[in-house]
Amino acid sequence: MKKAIKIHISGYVFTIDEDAYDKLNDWTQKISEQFKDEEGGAEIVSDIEARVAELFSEKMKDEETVITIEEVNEIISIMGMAEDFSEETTNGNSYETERIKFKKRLYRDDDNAFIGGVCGGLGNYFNVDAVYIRLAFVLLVLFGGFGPLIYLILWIITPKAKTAAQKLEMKGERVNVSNIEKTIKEEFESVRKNIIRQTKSDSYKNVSSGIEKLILLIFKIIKVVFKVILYFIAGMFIFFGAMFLIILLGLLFFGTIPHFASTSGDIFIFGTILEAIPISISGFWAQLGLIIVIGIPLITLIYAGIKIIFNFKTNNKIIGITATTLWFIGLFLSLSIGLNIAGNYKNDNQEIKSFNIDKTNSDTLYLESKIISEEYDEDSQMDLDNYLITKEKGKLKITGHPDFRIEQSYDKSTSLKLKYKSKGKSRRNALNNITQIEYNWSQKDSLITFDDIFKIKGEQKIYGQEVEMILYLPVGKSVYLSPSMEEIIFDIQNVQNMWDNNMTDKIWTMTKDGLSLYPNEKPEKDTESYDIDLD
Amino acid sequence: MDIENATAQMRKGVLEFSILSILSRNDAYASDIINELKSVNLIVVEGTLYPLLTRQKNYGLLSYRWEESVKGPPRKYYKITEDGSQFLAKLDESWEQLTKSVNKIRVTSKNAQKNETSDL
Repeated sequence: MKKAIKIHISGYVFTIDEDAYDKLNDWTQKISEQFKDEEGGAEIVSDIEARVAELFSEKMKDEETVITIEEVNEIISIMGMAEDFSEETTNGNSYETERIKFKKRLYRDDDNAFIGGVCGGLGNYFNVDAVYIRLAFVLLVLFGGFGPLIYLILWIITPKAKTAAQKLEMKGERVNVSNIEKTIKEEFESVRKNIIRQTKSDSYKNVSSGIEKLILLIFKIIKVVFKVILYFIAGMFIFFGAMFLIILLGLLFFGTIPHFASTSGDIFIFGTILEAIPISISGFWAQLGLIIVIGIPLITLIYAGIKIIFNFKTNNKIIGITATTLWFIGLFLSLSIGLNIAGNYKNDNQEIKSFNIDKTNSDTLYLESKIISEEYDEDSQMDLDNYLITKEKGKLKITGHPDFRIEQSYDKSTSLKLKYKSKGKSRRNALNNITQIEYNWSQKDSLITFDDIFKIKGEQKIYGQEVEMILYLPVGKSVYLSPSMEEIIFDIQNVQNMWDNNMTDKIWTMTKDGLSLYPNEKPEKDTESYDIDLD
Repeated sequence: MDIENATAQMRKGVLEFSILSILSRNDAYASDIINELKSVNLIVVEGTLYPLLTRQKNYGLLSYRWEESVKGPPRKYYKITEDGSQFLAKLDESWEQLTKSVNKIRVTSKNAQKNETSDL
């Protein structure tokens, strides 16, 4: 079923199919455009129309015979396309016009406008997709804030491409008939669609009163503001999504945070951590799991941003379902690996060794620490909680910080208690892990030297190994904490309530109330005498 | 400069000349002119004629009157003007001149070409 239209062409009446009419109308418009700037152009067009009418009337027996698209095609082939006229219409100076190079001009592109068509126009001018220009503006907002200002200025100074010729100039296409035809066709289509849309919507009315106009204007402004905000959010999505994704991938594959995102000088080596903790399967799976669990939401964020900016409405369910499924697989993978790792820390055990250190000549013990951590290359080191992981020649060396504290001895003897602690899958495993701890200390008369770190031997991983030392000091006995002890002393209770880092380079005496700087409880008097100068 | 453009320019001039020649015999409808030009292959698509007619009319070489037709509305009936006849006479003259000159050049060129090939 086809719709037929009655038309008048220079005094004749015809019945014509809708598609045939569209074609004929298109052709006539194209010709009108061709002659519109010429003297007597309207006359030429009407002459041509008259001839068309004549030709139709010869073909059609009466008004009721419907003109189909075949007849229109035939007439057009007789009359010729507008391009066929062009060579004759140029007024003798066609050589010159041919030679004039076509110049591109900056216009605002209303057909491709998000706000004012500035980006669309710039895109046409520089021959890039307007989306990238928009993105650049959004980024300008993020980094400097002068994006909107530039936009506003461009909006004001750039003219809008109105005529077909201007639109072609904007796109840098040559203003010739076939190009104008193309543009007009597009315009015609868009206008037609607009009209259909407008007439269909209920809100379409003859806007006559000023108030209604004002309301419409306000709506338009709100729409634009909303669009800008939406665009901004989309830009943020893409920006932060991409940034975190780069950080994530950088961590997993290159071991470090990309420099620009690094906030401190610390090198954070994810792969090394995976090597240092007990995982029964390859660290690759853990990395994969993390990529999926964190990466998919990030990609979704970027995707959402791009979707808003590019304004496409694909709702590909397969992608969504796949991504969601993949995410759950990743989550499952990560969780099972996490549980697997956690299983290695289920039980703990400890081994305690005690040493008597009564046989000293003086009543004061001198405690110092031997800094053996300096043996390790600091550049390939990382701190992980209480541990220090060093990678030397592809092999991991794990060391830990021991804790040292002083408590009151209740049996008048001085002793040192070493507690080796570790976790493991079972208590037996934990005990086995303890045997892998290597810690050295030594006593030379009243001088006791502690290593500043304990080593974890062989290929052993981190199982929460700890070394805890308690020096039991009877009342009346003193210790001197040399500055090097700062590395290992941990939360030593004292009468003065002094912090660990202030306790070194001082002599402490055990009193009934605990460790004190002033055993005679006369802190006002010559406090300085209790400080010993090592030199 | 391409061949299409050169022939277009040539044909444009020749067409204007031919239209005046046809109208110098007797007055005619646009369709009559078209039919004659078509019969001698001077015109391919009809549309090209109308801009020329209008332009010649604006230069005062032609005029038209509305003639009633058997069927449909009145049509333009073209007639050559006094100026047009004078213009045509000048065109005739220069055409004679041009064809003579061009033919002479063409014959000489062709002969030269022939001689060249026979020399080989």
